[in-house]
Amino acid sequence: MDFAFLFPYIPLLAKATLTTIALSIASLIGGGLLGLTIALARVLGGQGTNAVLAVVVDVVRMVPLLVQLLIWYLGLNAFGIRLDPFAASVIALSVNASGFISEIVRGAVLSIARGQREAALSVGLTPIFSVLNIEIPQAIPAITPALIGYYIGLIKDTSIAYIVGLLELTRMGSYIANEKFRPIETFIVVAAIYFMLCFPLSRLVPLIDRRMRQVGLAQEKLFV
Amino acid sequence: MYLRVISQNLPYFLGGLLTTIEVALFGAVAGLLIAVITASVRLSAPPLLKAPFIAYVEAFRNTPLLVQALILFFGPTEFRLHFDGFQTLAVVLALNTGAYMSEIIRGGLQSVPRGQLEAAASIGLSGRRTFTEIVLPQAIRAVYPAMSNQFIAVVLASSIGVIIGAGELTSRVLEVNSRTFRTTELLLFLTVAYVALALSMTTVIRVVGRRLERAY
Repeated sequence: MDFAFLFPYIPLLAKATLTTIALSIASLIGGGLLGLTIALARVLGGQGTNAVLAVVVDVVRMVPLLVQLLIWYLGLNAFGIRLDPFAASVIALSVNASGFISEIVRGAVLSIARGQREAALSVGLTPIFSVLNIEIPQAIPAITPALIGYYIGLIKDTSIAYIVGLLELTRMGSYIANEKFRPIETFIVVAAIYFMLCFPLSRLVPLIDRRMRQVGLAQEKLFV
Repeated sequence: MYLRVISQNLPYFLGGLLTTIEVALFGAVAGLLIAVITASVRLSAPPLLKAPFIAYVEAFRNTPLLVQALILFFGPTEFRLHFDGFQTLAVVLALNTGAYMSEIIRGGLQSVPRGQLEAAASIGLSGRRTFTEIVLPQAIRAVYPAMSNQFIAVVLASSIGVIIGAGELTSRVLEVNSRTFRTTELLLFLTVAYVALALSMTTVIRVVGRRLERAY
């Protein structure tokens, strides 16, 4: 195995890596905002809202990301809306992420003791103020490690943008592999770049988890 | 809506659905086997023997499935070998699932309290009976939710087969799309098919889960 032929491609690979990172961050922000909104609507809204959003979240989680991306990219085209590959990828990844992130946030908020909300309401705070300023801050030790874990998955998921021809890391690898007829070396280097992005983050999860658990969550304790 | 594009190709699509189930089933079962071996080695073997298994798990968990598939699909061509898309997809799903599942199983086995082992030893149970009758039943219950999520994930992940031409559901639907350009109808069908597949899986998972709880 000889990797020397890849040296001239370092700028292209670096550019593709930046595209992958940009795609993952944009989707994390988009998915985070959308996911938070869905979680808030489900926690605060009535049964009807909750039921409708539960179905939406389930569908998002039951359809392959690749199919969702094709819906945004090709499907919208049929209605005369043309998204470029990057925009379609960000939207598809964000919507997909929002399904998972909303469940992370919702689960963490629901694990906060009910008494917290009751206490907030009893002193005249609004439900939305209670969720945003009292419950979510306490849920952060539970949310953060799960969110980092999800972000690692998101970085790997960006490779799906390959199918709409976006020149992110995987597509760039495939372009170089075709030009040089050296798929093994090229894709090993591509895999190594993904590894360098993901592995440090995955080591971070248990560390943050331990650090944050010391801060602690409000638990339901009746006889203290 | 021109739904005839779906009814005309229905047998072809159902064949693809069957291929999806087939490849996912292989990936899940072979992956489970790999995972059990990997988890056992990581829990009991000496460090030197553990190292390659740790490398395997970390390599597969920190790189995209698609890149793994591309390495396995195009890599052998450098040696004038060729595996078709279906074979590649089956192998890569098994290896990928094995890596994720081994972590789930490892966590499950570790979640059984030590006191259980000591109690089993104190009443004279053999090591093997302790494992099959004390540790395993508790570990299975602990990992069941995470493991069933993983099974659904394998089915969804098999859709990357379209990129290496594995002939599963997504490949076939997109192939018809490239001939007919009935994109809306075909993507709608694809969505419904995957939701139906995932829903039937969750139903089975729920029934088995209830059965698991009762067995205590």
